[in-house]
Amino acid sequence: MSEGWKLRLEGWAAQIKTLDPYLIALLLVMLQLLMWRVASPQVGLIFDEAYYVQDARVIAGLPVNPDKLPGNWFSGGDPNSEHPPLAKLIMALGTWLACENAMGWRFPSICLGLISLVCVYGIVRSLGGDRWQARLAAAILALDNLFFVHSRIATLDIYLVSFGLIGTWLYLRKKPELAGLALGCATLCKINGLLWVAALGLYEVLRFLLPGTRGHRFPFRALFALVGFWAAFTFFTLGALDNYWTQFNTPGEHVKHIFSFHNTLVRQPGEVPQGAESTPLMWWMNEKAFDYFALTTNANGVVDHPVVFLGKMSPYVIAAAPLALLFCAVLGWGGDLLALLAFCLFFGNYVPILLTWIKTRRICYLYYMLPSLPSFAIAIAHCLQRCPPWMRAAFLLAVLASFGALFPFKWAT
Amino acid sequence: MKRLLLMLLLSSAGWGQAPIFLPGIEGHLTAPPDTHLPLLTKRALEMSLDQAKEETKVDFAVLYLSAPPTAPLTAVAQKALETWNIGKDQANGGVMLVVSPDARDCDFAQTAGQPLSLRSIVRVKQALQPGNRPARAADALASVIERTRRILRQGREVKVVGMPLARRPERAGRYALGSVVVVLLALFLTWKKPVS
Repeated sequence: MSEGWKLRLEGWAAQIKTLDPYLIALLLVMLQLLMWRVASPQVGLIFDEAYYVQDARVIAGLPVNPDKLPGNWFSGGDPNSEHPPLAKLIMALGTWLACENAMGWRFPSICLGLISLVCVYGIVRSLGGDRWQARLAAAILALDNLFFVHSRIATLDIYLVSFGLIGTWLYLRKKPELAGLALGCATLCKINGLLWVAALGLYEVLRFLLPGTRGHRFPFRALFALVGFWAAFTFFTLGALDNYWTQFNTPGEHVKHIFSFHNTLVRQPGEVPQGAESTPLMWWMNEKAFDYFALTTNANGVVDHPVVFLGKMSPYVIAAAPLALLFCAVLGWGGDLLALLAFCLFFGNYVPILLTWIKTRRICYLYYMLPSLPSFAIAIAHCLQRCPPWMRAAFLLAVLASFGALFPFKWAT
Repeated sequence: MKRLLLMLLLSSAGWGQAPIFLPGIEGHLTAPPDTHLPLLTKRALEMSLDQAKEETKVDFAVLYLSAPPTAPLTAVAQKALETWNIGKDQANGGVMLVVSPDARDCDFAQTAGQPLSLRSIVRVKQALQPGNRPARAADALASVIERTRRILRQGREVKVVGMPLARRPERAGRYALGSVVVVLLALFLTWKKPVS
């Protein structure tokens, strides 16, 4: 066995030995909660599953009731051309493997939700955070209702967040080539994946320019590798997927279509958001939260809602986020890399949406905040690290209470 | 008296209105080449209309106009319904849908059985966005056809398999090869880095 292999195996063995039992416990509890009644509701799809599960069924070549499908759809192809196909292909594979059971299309989201927690933990540790801080960040993210709900339904957003976090962690672990591939996967699930690349670019530029970190060499090679592998992987894989599962001949054609489609999702100036639509400014107040799914029962005139999937963030997380991000901006200025990264991940994911909304009145929804949630969790944990332990415990308990209050299933049902 | 009778005759015949010219019927969907409807979309819509007929026993035909009509869309639809004998040999009658060239307006004519209620027609017409961009006319046409088909099918649980997608495996393979090379290169570059 070569020396390189030996060293790597020893390294992996050492890492397994140092696995954090608290993180494993958190993952097991979350797995249990995410899997609990995962195939419920028996009938009915939750929120945008109405589109993506239909798409997955069409891709798998299964017979469908052609609701929520465009007029020109082809069996075996991806009918939803406004997003890249990777996430829907994963859902289709799950659907096919699980014999058209809800478990099939939701299980990949559960896995990716858990992977996101591991990545947040890893990111905090990679940039010098201690174990408690990493645990706290992972726990805050896990207990946020919006993250939890998206981790158990078949929509594209958790795919984007999870691959984005994998890419970020790999980049911080000095594996920019693999990070490029992971961010490529994020982009192949939802085009917003490119915002994660921009966020990491911003992080490196600020790290180079800010007074607190001055003297550090600009990582040209790492950034070049990240962007190069991301672009090449996205280009070739999208081309392959498009030619096999869509009607687009080239990736450029598809990307152009995605942007032109999204350019049509706008409101006229002065027009107020309709229905569940909201503006990026409203998200800070958790406004315009809406039911993804609500089961209403009426027994002898007593109306009850035993199952409610609500698209709403934890009120404590969103209330603490602006302060934590501001604090991180200040710490980042002074050279704190973890604070700087949290700020850049937020800036890269939120500000482009805000600017698009300001410029074009793009139709937006509260769940567009999901990619920013990991940065909130990291920033809040970083701030709480400087607070007394009772304050950390109190905050975590408050988030836990909101998690219980917003939990989709009533315990008695 | 003769003059009066002649005037009455002319007015009842729609004197003053331009005659309605119909293109030759092409199938369930008539869309002359000037409409620039993509061939694949046309084939998919044709198949969708054929399935609608199988599911509902309603002859559902569509005329996508290539130029603004000289008469109201209702009149064009009525003329097409009668000229092309839509729904004549179907148990549940026929529906003729006429869509304007920019797909911002449409109207229906139907046989005596009235497969579509007035409310449904209003719903379908409302779904056509007046602000549709011309470039999205084909999508709007597809959407209005799908919506009508859904309404016609209401009350039935029908599951269908669509027309199979025409894949391009050779092109996909070439791109996939590029993708595999990128992945292998990334793994190689990561692997050859010294272990810290």
